[in-house]
Amino acid sequence: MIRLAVGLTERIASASAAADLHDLVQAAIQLEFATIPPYLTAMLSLHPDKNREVWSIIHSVVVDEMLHMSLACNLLNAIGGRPFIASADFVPTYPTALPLGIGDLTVGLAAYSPAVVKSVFMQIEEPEAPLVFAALVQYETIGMFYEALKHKLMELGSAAFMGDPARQVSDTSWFSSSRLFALRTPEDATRAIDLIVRDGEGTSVSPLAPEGTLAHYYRFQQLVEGRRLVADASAPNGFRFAGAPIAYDSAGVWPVRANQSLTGLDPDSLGGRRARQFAYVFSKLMRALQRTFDGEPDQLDAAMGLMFELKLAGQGLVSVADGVDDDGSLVHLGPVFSYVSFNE
Amino acid sequence: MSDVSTRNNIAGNYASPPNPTDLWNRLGGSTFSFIDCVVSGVDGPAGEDHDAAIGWRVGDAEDRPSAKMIDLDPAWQFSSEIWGLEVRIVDPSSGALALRGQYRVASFRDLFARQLSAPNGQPRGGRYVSVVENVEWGPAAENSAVLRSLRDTTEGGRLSVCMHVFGYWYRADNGHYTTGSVIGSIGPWRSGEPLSVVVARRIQSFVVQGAVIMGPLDFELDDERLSMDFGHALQIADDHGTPLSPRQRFNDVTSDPALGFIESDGRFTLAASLTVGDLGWYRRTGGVVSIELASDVAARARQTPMALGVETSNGWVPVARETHDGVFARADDFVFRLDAGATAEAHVHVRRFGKPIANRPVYFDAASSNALQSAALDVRTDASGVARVELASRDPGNPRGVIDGQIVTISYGVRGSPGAVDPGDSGLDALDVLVAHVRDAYTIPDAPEFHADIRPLMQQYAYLYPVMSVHLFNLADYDALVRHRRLLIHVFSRNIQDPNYMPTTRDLSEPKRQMLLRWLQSETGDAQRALKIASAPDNLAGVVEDHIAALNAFYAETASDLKRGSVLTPSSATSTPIDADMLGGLS
Repeated sequence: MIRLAVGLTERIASASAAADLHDLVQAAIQLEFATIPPYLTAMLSLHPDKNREVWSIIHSVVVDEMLHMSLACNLLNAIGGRPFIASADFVPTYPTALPLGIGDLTVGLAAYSPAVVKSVFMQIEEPEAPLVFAALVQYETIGMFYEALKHKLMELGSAAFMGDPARQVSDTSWFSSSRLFALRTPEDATRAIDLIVRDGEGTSVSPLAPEGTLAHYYRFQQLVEGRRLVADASAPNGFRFAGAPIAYDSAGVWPVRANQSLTGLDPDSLGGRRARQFAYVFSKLMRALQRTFDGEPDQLDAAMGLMFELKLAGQGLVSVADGVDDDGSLVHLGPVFSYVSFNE
Repeated sequence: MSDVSTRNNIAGNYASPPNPTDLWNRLGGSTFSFIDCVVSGVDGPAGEDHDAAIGWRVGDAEDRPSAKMIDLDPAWQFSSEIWGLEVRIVDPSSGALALRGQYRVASFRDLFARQLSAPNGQPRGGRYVSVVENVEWGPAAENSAVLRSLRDTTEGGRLSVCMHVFGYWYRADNGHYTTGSVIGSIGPWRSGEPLSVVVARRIQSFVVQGAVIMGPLDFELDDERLSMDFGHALQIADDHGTPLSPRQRFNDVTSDPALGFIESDGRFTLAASLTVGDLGWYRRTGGVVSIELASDVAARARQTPMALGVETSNGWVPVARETHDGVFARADDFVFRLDAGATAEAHVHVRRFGKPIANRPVYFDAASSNALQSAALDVRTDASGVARVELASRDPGNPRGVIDGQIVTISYGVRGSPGAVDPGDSGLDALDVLVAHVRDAYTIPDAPEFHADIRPLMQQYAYLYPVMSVHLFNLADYDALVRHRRLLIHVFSRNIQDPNYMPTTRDLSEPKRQMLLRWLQSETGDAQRALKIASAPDNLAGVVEDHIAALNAFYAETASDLKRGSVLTPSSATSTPIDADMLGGLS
């Protein structure tokens, strides 16, 4: 579970105007985004012709995180703020603690393995236990954060939603309107926040997200259990990991270097060139997202096109071997999420 | 960078899956992008060669998918074009924009083997001439005297741009792979100038025993100032573009090429010496040389063909010359994509000693097939020296089977006679023809069917572009198409100028594209309707699997069925009978 610094919900609760919430919502946008490079790295490390089901499950979570980020940007725009995406400060350098976090969970960029799913991905998406009894609150949860935000926005009312509606992104080419929608009222914000939370965690009584698919935590748990989670009336919570096995071939994973950076790469090597190409396409994506969420919703098309281009650039990268690591095993290049201005 | 996709270079690949013997870049994504390009020199209005803009970055769009480089067709791979390219110049110290514009699609020309030693694998170089349109000027332009001057003199919201491309790397084991070099120049464009070609004066190639020693040289005489573009003509020693003068290639040649005239007795009279510089010179100038002629020489040059000569132990000898009468003619856009029955207009610019000539005949040969026809075989230039001819297309009748349509060429020129163009003494090469991909006629079915209509089309793309099926999804797979329906509708609905336009090769006829969209748009909601099959396909097991997969997709999208525990797997096909209605009409 993501444990947040104590005091955030207090700050939200004591906000007296929408502007007081801007930097917190910006931080939430950064948080939603910061989980994507680790998921993407795991996806890219899977051989294209193997482990397709594993890939699909992680991909479905990535798509949701992009959606959550979009909704959070809509929220910030709706309450008169402005998302800042296209900058070197937006994407952390991995390995990193997550934005807003207290630093006890470090996420990095690594090749796929069930161990990574269990120790990192499920930790990111872990729901809080429904009841927490503690004399001293040492952390807050993302659920509490979003809950506090929801209540504050309802309290501030429609006066807080003075942002220009033309800045809202709600294109149905890429997401259905039940998932990506304009935020104009406190009720819209509640709907968006509930979707974000429930997509990740489900509810305290169900593993299902709003549309009937599984919440992220349980989707990932399927990868660890090796079987689909299916409805089962005889099981304790009505569900059991007793569905179809999920094929996983551990040899079908590129041994990508963890937390790859551009430093140290020979610029004349194939890998060096491909790493810089990936960073360039990634940076173009950040800039396209900036425009999309900064008053030009029609740029979403460019952003989606760049996501595919990024995927191709990533595949070209992870297939390149780059020596051996300390224990003598073969290493491949990993994706580099650096913010660059030019293609070099 | 030009990560061209190569399976579509071979006609046989249109009907066969990827295999290990495929050409060198079958996973290419067609990306074209500027890497590490900078403003390397200026030639200002007062001849100045220093300016704040030197060192500024030349790049492509900073927030859009990459441009694409594509060929017209496997039967015509000589007109690679760059689509969806935005050109930007930025001051890197501030990040401020100097200018930005859209590169107009144009094919390269004047291809020849420039590079003497080519460990990169490709000795040829080509030349792109085009315009950048809808130019926006940014704040950085204020800090550059040359850019301000360019802004004030260029017309039509355009800039003229020329790119010499060479030094392309085929080898797969280093960072140069699929990259090459570009040296070029950007200058003002003026109304009336062609868009994809320089039609001025041209000194034809310097050829020795069939080998091109220097490519064609375009030049212009303005009063007494003569400007000449060596940028593409000079041979080069390496992939960086280190220029080679003929002096370096032939022991007996003791000078760089010089300008002059060929007298009636064949002697070369020197008019102006030239100096071929080094790589630094090439980068600073783009190979453009500007000299002042003496006024009597200029006067003669205005009405006499010029020539290049070199000094040898036998004195000066001529090595290349303009056409005998100083006439040079060339088509502007010469590559056409025509659906059966569509028309296009070709413009041939004709100049004599650099000036447009009116009422001059331009001849055309009969087209290489009757799928294309020019409106006339003899068209006269208008007052601005342009001959315009309409090209009309007809259904080629699918002569190539799996490959749509046909490539048709029409030769043109100012020599010879109507229907019998003489290519000699023209300054043109064998690729200077009008070329069209004429598409087969196609009637859009009212209700397109997957097996009859969609699969044959998409199977071909799946074969040709394995980058899609390996890294994204299998274009020929029913389930994948249904699952990615929204995405496919989006990419197949783009404007052809959009870098995301699909198919990347822009070789899909409009009616076939409409058919594809009609099918994709009909796939909403009703999975059963989607599964109707017009005729019994060969692989019934495959159809059943497709069916199961489509049902799974249907359930996943409409959700709520997890509770019914009814996620089907292919192995349940035998235990869950298929309702005959679902197969719609199989007898």
